[in-house]
Amino acid sequence: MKLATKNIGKTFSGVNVLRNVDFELEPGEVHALVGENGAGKSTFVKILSGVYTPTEGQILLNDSSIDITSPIVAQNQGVTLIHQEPQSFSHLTVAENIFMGHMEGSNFSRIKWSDIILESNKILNSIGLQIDPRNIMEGLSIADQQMIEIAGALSKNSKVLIMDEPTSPLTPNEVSKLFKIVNQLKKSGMAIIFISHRLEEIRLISDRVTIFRDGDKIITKKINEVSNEEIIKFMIGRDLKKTEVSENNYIKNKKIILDVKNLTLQSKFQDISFELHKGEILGFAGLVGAGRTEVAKSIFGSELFDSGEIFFKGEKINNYSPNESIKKGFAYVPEDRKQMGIFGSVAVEDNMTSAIPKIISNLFGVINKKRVSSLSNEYIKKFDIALTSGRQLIEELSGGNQQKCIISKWLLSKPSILILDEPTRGVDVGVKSEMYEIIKKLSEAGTSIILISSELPEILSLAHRIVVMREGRISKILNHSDATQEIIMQNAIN
Amino acid sequence: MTFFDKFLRIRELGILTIIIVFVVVASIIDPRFLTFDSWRAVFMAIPLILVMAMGQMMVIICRHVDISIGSILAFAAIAIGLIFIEYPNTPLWVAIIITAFVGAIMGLINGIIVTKFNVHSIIVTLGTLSLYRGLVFIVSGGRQIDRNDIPLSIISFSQTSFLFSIPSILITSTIIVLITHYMMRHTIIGREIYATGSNPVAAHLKGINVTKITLFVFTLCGMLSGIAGLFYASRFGYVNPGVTGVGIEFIVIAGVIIGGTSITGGSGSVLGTFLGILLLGIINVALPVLNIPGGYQKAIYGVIIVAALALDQLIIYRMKKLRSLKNV
Amino acid sequence: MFKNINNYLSENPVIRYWIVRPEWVAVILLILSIITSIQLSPFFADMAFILDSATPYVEYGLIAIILTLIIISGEIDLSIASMIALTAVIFGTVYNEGVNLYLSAIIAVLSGGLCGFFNGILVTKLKIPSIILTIGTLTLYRGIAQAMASDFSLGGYPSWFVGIDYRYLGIIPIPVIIFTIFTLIVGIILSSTIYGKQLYLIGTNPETAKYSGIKVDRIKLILFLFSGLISGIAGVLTTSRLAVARFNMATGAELEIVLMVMLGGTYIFGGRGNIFGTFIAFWIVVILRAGMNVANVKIQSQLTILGAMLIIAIIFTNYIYAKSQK
Repeated sequence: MKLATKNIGKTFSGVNVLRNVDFELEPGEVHALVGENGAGKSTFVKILSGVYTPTEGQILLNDSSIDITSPIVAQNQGVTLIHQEPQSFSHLTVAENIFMGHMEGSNFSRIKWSDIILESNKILNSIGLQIDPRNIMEGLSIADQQMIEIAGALSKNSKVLIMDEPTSPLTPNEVSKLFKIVNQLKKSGMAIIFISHRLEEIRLISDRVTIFRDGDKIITKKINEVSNEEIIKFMIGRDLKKTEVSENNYIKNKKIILDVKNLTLQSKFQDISFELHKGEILGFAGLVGAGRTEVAKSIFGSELFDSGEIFFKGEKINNYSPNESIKKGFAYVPEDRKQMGIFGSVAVEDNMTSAIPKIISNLFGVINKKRVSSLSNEYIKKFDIALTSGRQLIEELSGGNQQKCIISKWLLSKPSILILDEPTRGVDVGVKSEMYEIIKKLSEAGTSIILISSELPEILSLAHRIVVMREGRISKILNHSDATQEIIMQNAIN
Repeated sequence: MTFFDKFLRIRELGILTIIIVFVVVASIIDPRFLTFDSWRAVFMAIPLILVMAMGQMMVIICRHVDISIGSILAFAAIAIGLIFIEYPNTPLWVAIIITAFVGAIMGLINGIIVTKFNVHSIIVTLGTLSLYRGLVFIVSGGRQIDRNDIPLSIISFSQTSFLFSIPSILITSTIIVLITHYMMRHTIIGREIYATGSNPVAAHLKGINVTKITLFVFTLCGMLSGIAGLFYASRFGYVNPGVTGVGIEFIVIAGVIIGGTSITGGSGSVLGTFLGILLLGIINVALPVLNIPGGYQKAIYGVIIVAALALDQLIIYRMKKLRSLKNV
Repeated sequence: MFKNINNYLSENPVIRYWIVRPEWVAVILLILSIITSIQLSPFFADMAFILDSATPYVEYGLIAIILTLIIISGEIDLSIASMIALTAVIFGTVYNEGVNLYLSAIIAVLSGGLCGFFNGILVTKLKIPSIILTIGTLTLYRGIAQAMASDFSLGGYPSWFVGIDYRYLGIIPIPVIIFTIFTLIVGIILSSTIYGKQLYLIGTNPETAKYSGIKVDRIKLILFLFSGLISGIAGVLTTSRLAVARFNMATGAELEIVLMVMLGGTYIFGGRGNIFGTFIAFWIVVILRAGMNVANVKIQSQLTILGAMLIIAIIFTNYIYAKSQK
C-alpha cells in the first residue's frame, strides 16, 4: 500500500503550524522524520493517524484521496500510530490489549478465547516476543508494552506503522530488539514512519529521511546520500559551531556548593556521586531512562532515596522535602510542564508567585496584590513574555512562554541551586536562544545550575562540566574541553 | 497469570478466609450458627443486595458510582405495587419486566446527565437519590403498599420454588449473577467495560465508544435495582415510601468494595463481589447469634469497609515496591 | 449579537473572569426564590420571618463553608452528617454520665475533630480517594453512634441549654450573626490570604503544588480536621435545638450541605469556587425550605425539589466553566 500526501497543512486557531507537505511512502520502506521540537513532524504524523484533520491538502492511499477523520478510521485504512508512551490497559491481559476494539462479533457474542490466544501467540512469535498472551499487562516493561502495541497494529493488518520517538524510553538492548522487529516488518512489506532525534539510530534503520523545520518540509533524502552534519544543517538552518563556554569568576574559586555521595534508589539509580560548584553549569546527559530526572527529584526532595548523603554548603541535609529544599534555596523546573510545572487554569502572576508565599504576603498571610503584579511584571518584561495581561490564564500561553513563566517563578525565589530538567523542550528556536542567555547570565551571577538535557548541542553550548549517566549510573564526568557529541554519546550508550 | 491476577485471587481468597474464620468462630461460640436455619437466613438476606451489587460493580469498574440505587429500588417497588393494586392478576414475569424497565429508565437518566453534561457521578446520583425518592412519595401519595395489595404469586416467589425447595428468588438472583459473570468475562461489551475503566483515554483511541459504555452500565445498574424493587415487595410483603431502600446504597457499595472492586476502575470480579456481599450477610445473621446487639451492625460494616480500603492501599504500596525491586 | 458579546469577552479576560461566573447563577436563583416564596406566602415579605427560618440551618451552613474549602482543594467529605450525629450522641452520653455540660460539649467537639483527623490521615497518608473513604466513614461513624445510643433519645439537658440558639440581637437571631461572621472570616482568608490561594493551587494541580513547596498533605489534613470540629459544633447546636441527641439525627444532611456548596458555584473537581457563592446558596436553601414549609409542601416533595436543584446547579456550573475555558 502506498501512502502519500499532497499539500498537507494545519492551522490551529489562526496559528499555522504546518504547510505544503508533499510526502511519499513506499511499501517496505523505513522512513525517518527529523526536526527540532515544534518543527511540525509530530503534527504531520498526527494528521496521518487521524488524531488531527488537515486544514488543507489531501491524503492519498494507493493514489486515491481518502479522508481520515479519526484514529479509528486511520486504523481501518491500515495506518496505526504507536505512541511514545504506550497506552495500555494494565488490568487486562496481553491478548486483550492486542485485540481490544476489534474483536470479532457483536457486543454480546461470546468471545472465543482460544482463538484469540492462538492469534496473539502467532503475532507475538512473528515479532520474536516471548510473552504469554494470558499474562496481565500490569508490570510489563515499557519496551514490552511498546511491542504489544506493535502486535496490536499487526493484528489489524496495518500496512503503515508510525512510531513517535519509540526509542526514548528504551534501554540500548531494547532498542536493538526493536530494530530487529522493524527490519522483519520491513521485509514483510510494511512501511514504517519513524520519528527520532537520534541521528545514529536513524542511520542504522532507515532508508530515507525527511527533515522538517518551522512547519515546512525541507527535503527528503536517501539516508546514505546525506551526512549527519547536513541533516543537522537542514534541521536548524545554520551551522552548528562549537561554542565557547568560558569559566566565570565563581568557577575559578571552585567553591563546592552541593556534594552528593553514593546516592541510591533501588532500580532507578545507583551510587551517584558528584560535586556542584558555585556558579557552575553542570550538564546531565544520557538517554531517556538513564535516571537523570530521578536523581534530580531526589536531590530536590520530592522523591525519596534509599541510601547516600547530600551535603549543602558543607552541611548534611537531614530533612528532605520540596518545602525544605526551597527554604535552602533549591529550585526545580520539571520536565513535564503540564503535570508538574504549571497551574493551568490559574493566572500567570499567581503561577509566578506560587513558590514565594512569604514574600508576597504579610504577617497575617494577607496577599499584597501590588507586589504580586510588580514582581511578575518585572519578569514578564525581562523575558519578553507574550501575553495580554498578568491575569491571563497560563494555559492560554504558548509552550515557550509558559516555560519562561515557570523559570521566572523559580528565579523569583532567588535560588542558589537551579535544577533545569529539559528546559527547552517544546520551546521554539527563538525562545531557546533567549533561554540560553538567561542561563548563562545566572551562572555568571553565582547561581549553580544542574542542566538535564537530551539535546547534546544544548549541553555542549552551556555546561562547564558534563555528567553522563547510563542505566542508572554515572558513566563519566567530562570537562567541557574534553567533550564532543560523539564522546558523550559513547558514554551514554553501551 | 502474573501480578494483577494474583492480586485479585489474593483478595477473593482473603475474603473467603475471613468468612471461614468468622463462621468457625461464631459456631464455636454458639453452635446454633451452623444450623440450616441460620444459613437459610443468610442466603435469603442477600439476593436483593446481590442483584444490586452486580449493577454497582459495573458502574464502579467504570470509575463512577451510583448512590441513587435505593431510591430507584423504592420507585420501582412503589410503581409495581400500585400496578398490583389496579391489576391484581399481574403475572410474575410481567412484573419483572416492568420493574426492570422502570429501573433502566432511571439509570439511563443518571447516565445521560453524567455523560452529556460531564458532571461527577457522585453529585449527580446524590441529586437523583433525592429526586427519585421524592417521586416515590408523590406517586404513592405517602401511602404504604400492604401485604394484601401484593398478589400471592409474588409473595410466594420468595418462599416456594421449583427446584430442590430453594426459593425462586434465590434461583433467580443466582441466574442473574451467572449472567453477569458471563457477560463481564466472555463478551466483548464486558471486556470493553473493563477497558474503559482501566484506561478511558486508551479505550477511546482504540475505538471504544466510552459514552455508550457509560450509559450502558448506568442503565444496567438501574435495571437491576428495579428488579431488586420487585424482590423487596416479594420478600418483605410491603413497600413504604419512607423506609424502603433507604440507606441500602451504602451496604451495596460496601459489599462491592470489600469484594475487591477498586474505585479507581478497571478491576473487580463477580466472585469477589459475591463474597463481599456474603460476608456482610453472614455478619448480619451472626450478630444475634453472638449476642451482639443489632445496633452494632452498621458500625461493624463501617469498620470492615474502611479496613478493606486501607488494606487495598497497603497492598498496592507493597506491590509497587516489590515490582520496582524486580526491575533492577 | 451573541457573537459580538463572545468576541468582546474573549478579548477582555479580566472582564470575562468577573462576568462569566457560576456565582451569578446563585444570585439569580436567590432572587427567583425570594419572588417565588413571596408569592407562596405574604409572610416572606417580612425580614424577621426569613431570618428566623435560617436559624435551624446555620448548623448546616457552617459545615457548608468548610466543605467549600475541602472541595476547592480537590477532595470531598461525605461523612459530615454522620459526624454531627456521632458528636451529638457522644455529647449526650458523656453528659448523662454526669460530666459538666461545658466539658461534655468540648469533648463532643474534640471527638468530631478526631473523626475528621481520621478521615484526613487515611486520605493523605494512605492515599485512599476521599470520595470512597468518606462513604466508608459515614457508615462507620453513624454505626458507632447507633452502637452507643441505640434507639434512645439522649436528653436531660438544663432548660437554659435547650434552644440556646433562639436568642436575638434586634431581629437577627444570634446564630445567623455567628454564621455571617464566620463566613466573612473564612471568605477573607480564602480570597485574600496566601492560605486561601494555596487551596486553589492545590485543587488545580496537586502535583505542581507539591513541587512548588506547598505542604499539600498537611493542608488537607487540617481541612479534614476542621470539618470534624465544625461538625462537632453543629452536633452540639443541633442537640440544643432538638433537646435530644439521637443516632439518626441529620439524616440526609449530606445532600443539603453539598447542595449549598454546589449551588454556590463551586466546581466539584476542585480549583474553583468561593465562599460568597456558598453564602448565597445558604439563603436560597433557607428561603426555599421555609417557603415550601409554609406552602405545606410535603417534606418528601421538598426533597425532590432540592434534588432537582442540585442537578440543575451542577449542570449549569459545569457549563459555565466549560464555556469560560473555551
